[in-house]
Amino acid sequence: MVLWLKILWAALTPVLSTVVLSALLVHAPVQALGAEPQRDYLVFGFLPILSSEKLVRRFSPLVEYLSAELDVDIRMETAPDFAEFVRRTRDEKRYDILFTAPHLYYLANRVSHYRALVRVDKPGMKAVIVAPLSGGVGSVEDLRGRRLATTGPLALSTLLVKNLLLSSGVDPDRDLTLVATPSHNANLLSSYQGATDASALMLPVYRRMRPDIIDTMKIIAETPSVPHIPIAVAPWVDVPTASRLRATLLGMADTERGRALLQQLDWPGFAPTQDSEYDALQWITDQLVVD
Amino acid sequence: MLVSPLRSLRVRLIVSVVVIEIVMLSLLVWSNMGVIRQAHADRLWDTATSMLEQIATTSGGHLIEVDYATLEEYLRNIADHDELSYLMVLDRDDRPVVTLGELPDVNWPEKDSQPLEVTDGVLDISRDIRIGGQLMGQVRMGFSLELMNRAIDSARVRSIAIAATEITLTILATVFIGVHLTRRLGLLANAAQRVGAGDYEVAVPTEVRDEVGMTATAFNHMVAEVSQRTRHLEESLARERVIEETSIDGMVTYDADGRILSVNPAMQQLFGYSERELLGAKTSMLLAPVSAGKDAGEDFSSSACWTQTTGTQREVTGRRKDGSCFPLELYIGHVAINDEPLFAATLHDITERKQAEHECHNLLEGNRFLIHKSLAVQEEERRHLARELHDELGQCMTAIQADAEIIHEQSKRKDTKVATSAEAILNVSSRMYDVVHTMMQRLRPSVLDDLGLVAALEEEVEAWQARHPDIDCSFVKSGELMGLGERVNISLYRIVQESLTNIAKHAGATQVKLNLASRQQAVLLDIEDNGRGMDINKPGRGLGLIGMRERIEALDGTLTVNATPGRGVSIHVNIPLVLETPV
Repeated sequence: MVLWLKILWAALTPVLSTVVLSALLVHAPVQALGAEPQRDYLVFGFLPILSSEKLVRRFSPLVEYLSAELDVDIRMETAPDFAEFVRRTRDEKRYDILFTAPHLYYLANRVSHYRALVRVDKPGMKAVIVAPLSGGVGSVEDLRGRRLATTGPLALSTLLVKNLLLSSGVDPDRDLTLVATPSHNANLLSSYQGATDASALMLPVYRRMRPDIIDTMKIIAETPSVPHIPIAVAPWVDVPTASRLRATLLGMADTERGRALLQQLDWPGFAPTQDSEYDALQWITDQLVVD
Repeated sequence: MLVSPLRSLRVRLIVSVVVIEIVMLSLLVWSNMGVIRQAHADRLWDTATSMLEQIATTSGGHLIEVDYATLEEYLRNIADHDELSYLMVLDRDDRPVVTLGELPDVNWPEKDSQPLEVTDGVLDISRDIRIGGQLMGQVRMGFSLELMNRAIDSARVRSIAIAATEITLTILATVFIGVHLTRRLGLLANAAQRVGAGDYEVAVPTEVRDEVGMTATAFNHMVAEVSQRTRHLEESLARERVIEETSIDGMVTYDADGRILSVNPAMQQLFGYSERELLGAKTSMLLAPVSAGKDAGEDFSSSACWTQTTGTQREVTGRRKDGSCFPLELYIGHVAINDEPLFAATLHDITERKQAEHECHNLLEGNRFLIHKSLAVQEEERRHLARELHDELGQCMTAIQADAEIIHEQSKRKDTKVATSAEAILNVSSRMYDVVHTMMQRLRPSVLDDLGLVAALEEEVEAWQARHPDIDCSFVKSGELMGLGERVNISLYRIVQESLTNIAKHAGATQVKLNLASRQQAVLLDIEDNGRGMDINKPGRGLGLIGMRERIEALDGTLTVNATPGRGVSIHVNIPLVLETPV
């Protein structure tokens, strides 16, 4: 069965990649030809990995810090969902600065020519499958016929876990039911409250959840790691501004206020990165279907 | 009796209630309108601020997501409110992102803080939209006051209509109740007037058991009570009148000035005045003035004594119209009527009693004179008898003893029988002499005549002590005791003699003290013993004390006996010293 799926996946991957990349490439000239946004401030777009309230609380200090350090008005924005965020990134040239998932950055880089300045200075990111201790799910195999909560089809965790399931011989589209939730919080709460049997989410996000919830859950599987979240700038952002932004981010750990911010974000700091670091995520973006 | 409409209780009651009702209801409507206006304003303010708060809280997410379509859809759903005039959400650059309703024509109006202070008919409010403390935009809302004002106007009309209805009903009810109440109060007033005129047969209806009915019941009870008390009072007055008219004692009432207010018929008979002459006259004319002197008492011929000497019975001298006087017994009492004192006096003619007392006194004086005479005669007889015994019988006994001695001397060598008889005669005559001597001492101690009172008493005490050696008897004398006179000497001697006899017979005493002294025109004799005493009030005492008292009183002296059972007896004699007058 697993072998059959792998064969099927290997056969379909080129087809899917072709479809996705075709779609992206169709739009690419439009973007390349589009006019650059005319505004006297920079828009820092954040992938809606959390609810709006939590997203603002978590990242608005970072935005304010950068705005103060660069002496540029930087405004925080997000989108109702991942797909809309990708669409705005791609079609509307909405975000001057981009905070998005690694696989979506790969897409933005390839399609909209965003360029990564830094990444979170942490080892690679992993997705995990967690289940309630009393739920009877102890392994991937136990997920057959059950309900697995995900953070939408475009989420990195979803894609990583689907790949993990396939590699474990479990067809995510047939052997179990994937239940899309609007955020990581909702994802974990659904299995915690018994609406689903397990949750698929990013490990760092899981570790920041409430301790009383984590204490009742267990990790039943982990995916391979991928490069951490990058911060990128749009191609229309001038090089001096981008350089100052990169330097500010890399030097955050050197200032007291920066260290406090990094501690609040639970990040050690930012590290230099290159676009090539994210090439390894092509296999994931090949699976994406974005309208 | 007709009552002026202005003074009519009915008219005043109705007018007062109506005026009060109108004033109170006006105040109530005015107050209610204020409350209603404030309540509507508070309700609108609460609604507006609640919606504003809700939109400001929930719109932040949409703004940061730049999801204006969803925001507008959301706002359209929750903004479906009749009073909402407009709703506008602006982004961080004050650019409208969602606009609902009709925006104000003028520039953005001043923010209102109280619906009742709004002048343009729209309550304008606004609030910043923040998420995570970050400013995301602003929401502005306008609420029309039209509905609120319509509700207030409607409430005002309803309140005024209710107040007008209530005033009308109150007027009708007040008129009805007023007429009903005052009609029955009128019946009560008429009945009270008839009672005042002396008609106690009147009764008012009491069918309705309300306050007026209860008052009517109480009134009927009161009339019955007054009727009964009046009857009793009349009966009582009739009885007292009979007593006054038939009394032989004079009865008179008078005021604080001593002016006679009423008299009974006996007064006319006692004093000879007619009733007309007495009424209004001064009470002082009824009594004779008291002549000045050491023993003069209160002068009841003055008005002051008639009003100051109450509650006691006194003997006074009445004076008739013809000027003749007669003894009276006067008793004055008083009572306060309406804070004004009213005096009443009873005058009892004691002429007959005084005459009887005078006769009795004369008899007593005669009796006492006879007693004195009897005692004097007795003493004189005793003295005569003692003298006769001494002079005659004593001489004879002496002669017999002398003859018997001679016979005894002559015959004791010749005839022993004769000598024995002579000796027997000597013994018998000697014993007879002693008896006679004792009798003489009892009848009249010769020493009293020979050596005086002190020597006689010392001899008597010595002889008594010899007869009663167990009793310690002492005799102390002081002062000049010679020449007290025969009557004083014999009286004191007899008192001592009687007292010692009584002590020996009844007292059981162990100690007797006699003290005789002469002090400032008086001679004092005290006799005390420590015996068992006696109850001097107990009837049946002997005649000894009576005799002693008669003797002393015959000398114008006093004899006082103090005796208590168990604590001995003491007798104190005080005799004033005057020149001895022959009896």
